[in-house]
Amino acid sequence: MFRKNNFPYVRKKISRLLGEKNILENEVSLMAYSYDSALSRAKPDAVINFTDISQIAPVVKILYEAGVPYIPRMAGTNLSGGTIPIKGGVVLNLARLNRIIRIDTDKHFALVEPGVVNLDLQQELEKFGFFYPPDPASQKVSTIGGNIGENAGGPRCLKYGVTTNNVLKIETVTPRGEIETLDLTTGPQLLSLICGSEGTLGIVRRAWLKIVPLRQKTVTIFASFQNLESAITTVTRIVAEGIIPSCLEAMDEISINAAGRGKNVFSPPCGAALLIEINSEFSLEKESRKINEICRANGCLSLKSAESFEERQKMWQLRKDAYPAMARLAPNVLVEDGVVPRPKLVQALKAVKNILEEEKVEAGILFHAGDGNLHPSIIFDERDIYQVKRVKRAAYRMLKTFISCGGFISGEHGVGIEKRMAMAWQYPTKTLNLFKRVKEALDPKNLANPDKIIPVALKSRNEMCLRKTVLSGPASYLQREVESRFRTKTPSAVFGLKTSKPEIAGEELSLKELKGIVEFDRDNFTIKAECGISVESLKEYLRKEGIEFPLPEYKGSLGGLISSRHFLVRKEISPSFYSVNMIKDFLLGVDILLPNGEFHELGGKTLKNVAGYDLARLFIGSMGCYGIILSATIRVDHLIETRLNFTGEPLKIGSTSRKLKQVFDPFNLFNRNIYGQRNANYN
Amino acid sequence: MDRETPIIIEDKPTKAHANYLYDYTERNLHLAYLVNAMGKAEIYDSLSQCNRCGYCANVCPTYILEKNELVSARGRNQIIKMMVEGRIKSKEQSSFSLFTCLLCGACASACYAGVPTNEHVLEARRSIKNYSENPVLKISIRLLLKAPGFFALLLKIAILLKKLGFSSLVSRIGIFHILGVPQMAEAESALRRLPLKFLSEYLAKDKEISVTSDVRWLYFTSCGPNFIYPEVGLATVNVLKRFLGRGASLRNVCCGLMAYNYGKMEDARKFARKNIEIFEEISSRAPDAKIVVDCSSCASFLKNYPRLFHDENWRKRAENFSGNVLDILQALPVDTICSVQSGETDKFAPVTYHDSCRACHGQNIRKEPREILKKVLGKNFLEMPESDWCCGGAGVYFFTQEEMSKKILLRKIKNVSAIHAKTVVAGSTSCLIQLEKGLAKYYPSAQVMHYSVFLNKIFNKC
Repeated sequence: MFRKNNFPYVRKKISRLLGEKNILENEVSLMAYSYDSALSRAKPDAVINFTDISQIAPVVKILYEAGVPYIPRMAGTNLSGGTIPIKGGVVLNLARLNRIIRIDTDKHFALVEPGVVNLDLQQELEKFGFFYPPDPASQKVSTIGGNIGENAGGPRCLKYGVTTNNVLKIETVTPRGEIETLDLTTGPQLLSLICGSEGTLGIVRRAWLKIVPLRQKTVTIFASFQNLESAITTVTRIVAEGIIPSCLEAMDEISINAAGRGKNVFSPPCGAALLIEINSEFSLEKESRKINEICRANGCLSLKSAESFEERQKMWQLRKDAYPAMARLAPNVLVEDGVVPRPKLVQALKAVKNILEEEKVEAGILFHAGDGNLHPSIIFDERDIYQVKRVKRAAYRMLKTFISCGGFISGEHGVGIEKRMAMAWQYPTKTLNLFKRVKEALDPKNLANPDKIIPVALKSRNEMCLRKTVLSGPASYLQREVESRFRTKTPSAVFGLKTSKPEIAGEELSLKELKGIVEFDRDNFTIKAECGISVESLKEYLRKEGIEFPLPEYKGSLGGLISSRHFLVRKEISPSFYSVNMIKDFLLGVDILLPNGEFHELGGKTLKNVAGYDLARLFIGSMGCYGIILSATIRVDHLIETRLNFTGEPLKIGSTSRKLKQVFDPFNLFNRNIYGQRNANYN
Repeated sequence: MDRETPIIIEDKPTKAHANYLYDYTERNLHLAYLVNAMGKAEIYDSLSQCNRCGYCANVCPTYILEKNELVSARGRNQIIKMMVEGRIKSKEQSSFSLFTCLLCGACASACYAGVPTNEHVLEARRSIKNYSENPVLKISIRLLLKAPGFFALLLKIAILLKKLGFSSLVSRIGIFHILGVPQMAEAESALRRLPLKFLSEYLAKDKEISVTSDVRWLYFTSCGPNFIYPEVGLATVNVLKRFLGRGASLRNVCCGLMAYNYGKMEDARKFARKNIEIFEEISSRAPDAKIVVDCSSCASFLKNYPRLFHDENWRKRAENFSGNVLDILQALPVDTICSVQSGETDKFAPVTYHDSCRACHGQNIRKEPREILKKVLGKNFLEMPESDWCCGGAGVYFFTQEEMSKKILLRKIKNVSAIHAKTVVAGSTSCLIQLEKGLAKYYPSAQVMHYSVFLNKIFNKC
């Protein structure tokens, strides 16, 4: 409550840089930056408008040195309170930095500044016959910088992945005010770490985005169902059939009615609807026929394919209106955001409906059903404090449901402050502490969007985590071994099948024994395998299950593929960015063992996940220096094209990856030759 | 203190809230109710309907240009809400947000709940002391209300002085500003069009239009066509005669929009009552007559008369009145319009249509004029990008917020030039003034024309 405002000490310096009129300090300006689309509010001490990207780094440096908290902010459409300055400080308004610098249709990328509005970019790209895959519902207003900060998704993400899968390179301003370029060749996958970090680990200065050619042929199908359950079952069946539609959206009756201005546009009136769009190049007709069959088999009431462009637009309009149209039903809408493995959707849905009934609140439910993402939009009036209490309780109970279904508390909206509490249900305290250490390594003074994502006062907490994990026999043996080595501070050389002929520095620590398949979820198209398994035998296993998954030609182990084959570039086909296929696109989660014997479960088996920092993908290309990968979950659907030959690139170590090494392995015990023995940081 | 739970400043419950914007005694200075997508609402409910989703931001011209929450529709709405709640005390500080608003209403169109932010802004402006106390405005509104003839005479003197070359003298006295019509002072370039004979005088002489029982339309003389663009009014009357048959002039007074916009609600009500009475008198003789207005700003305001009245009786009468108002943009039936050979319209081509804010956002008229223009012009009609982007005129906005207005105008001109338009058709006199000025300065190969003037020109030929 007692906060010190240090801004006046640096005001002069900043005003010299940006001009007096770009610093707003009067009461009304501060109030206007005290809210976003969520419920929380707090007033900043000042607002700074930027007019050029060259101003960001120097201003951040000044603020950091003076100890002033700051928050980058653009459109402010955040749904979890991520842009609320709870510690006061300065709001950095970057919305005016909205130049599209370059669109390269040859190399398939777009270079933009952070304030570019998503839809503006899409419209610009459309002129060249391209699009940028992530399309959050707020795309009319939300900006690329914000999309990266929240790792935004949208309907198209089932096929094309979320923001993190569509960013090729980012130039960031670190919390201390240094400019750093994170691309596919520096250190471990730091790019994924920035995506979804909500401005706590850096500010996007420029971003290189992947762009994809528009497909000319699309089939759009609108199917209506008696109830949501049968609609969701249909979704699971479609994907289990091996069809990955480009969009697979579901909506319930309340949303349909709201979007249709109080009328149910379907005849006969229905309880739920599915919007299915496929654009695969070769098997369009076959797939659409199959989809029709599955819909019919699951009792759909009506089935309609769009015959013209206008009709398709109309169908999409209904879906896109569904969330904002809830505003007609009540003054406020709280959009909950959770993600569960697709086969668990029906279970989660039933639980959500129970909660709504028990708490006596009303909600329309929208789904990005294909990727297991559901959005119950609870309607209420924020002036009725009793109702607000009920709504919040319902929201928290839903989050617990998502976790117990094996899902996450946020798929695309972020944690901000409104879901911080739920983070303690999602992760055990030790993992939260790991997140905190990562944050502290990059931002020791805790000034870049402070107190977001990670719950505060971790020490005084009891364990509240709802996820339970059991280690396999070889894994727990390995854990004891690592613990005992940590006690004597014995350096270890971590390797899998030794196919890359690693340089051995320290006592050997082989992972060959970890070769089991932990779980194969056919309906969800994910497989969790221990990392000592060779890529060849993993492929063999999948082939036996009837899945032809194009893992690269690689002799070594799965763990080796992830940690050494830093990322995989398909060079020989074309040098274009578009054909870059990265492990990060199919890696969903890893279980890791830190050098001190700590076990962490990072990520899970859902396609979307923005609960906490994306540390799982950080281990791609970590060369065993950060910790041991015990097992990995990968998606084995038809995302990746066949006939690939991958080549690795040598690891490059930057200052950020060095700082992170301190977090994971402060005594430099694992593969110490890589980060150097004589580094002053290590004792 | 455990800061785990989000910091939330709870709002007060609906019923017992205090309104810090204005108290009960000032009720008469404000609207009786506001209208959103769900129906009527009082101001606090109307403000609270905003869910802060921010979807209005990408249509708000000032936000698009400035990218600053203070000048975004959502920001204004929240600021006013906090003013009502008493959390923002300083009305001086909030005036920047309030007075940069164009009142275009694009936000309300984009809002799914139809939150009328532009009306909220007006309500908040009215609560600011001295807002309605401008003596200049007071005089001119009084004159318009009590002695329109004298007002016209003063105006004529000013115009005459200007035409005689005493432009600097006129501007030094500021007579146009005294009369509340700074537009005319600006109309330096369009000097040729400042009329010495006003529209009402022309109409008084027109023998063909008189009230009989079979009249189908009543022409409402708006101040714009009356004092600045008589030819617009004459063209409208011509077009109406041609396509709707017999009609008459309403011989109305000013619609009261100026009084309404500048906080003089009592005067606005007086104008409204007068007009309602005039209409009721005529419609007792001619029951089928509809009021046709050729300035979208006035038309939109006339349609909103019921909101002005707190008392039931006048509200009902106003509802009857407003139900009979038609904008010229929607008054003409498509099927009676004949298509014209393309050769006839070639010299205007390409023609594009500018959506005046008060037509598209205020009355939701978008389709009707386009249908007719397309039928008449065929392929000579071209859609310009962002056709509903405000022109920046917005009453006296171009005068009070010069810098911002210019930026908005330039974007409009850019869009006009993007399709190499030769003729821009618009439906509001405020837009005519602004676009005439802007096009002459930045893109002289295009000209702006009022909708009825354009139609009149085409059809008098064929």
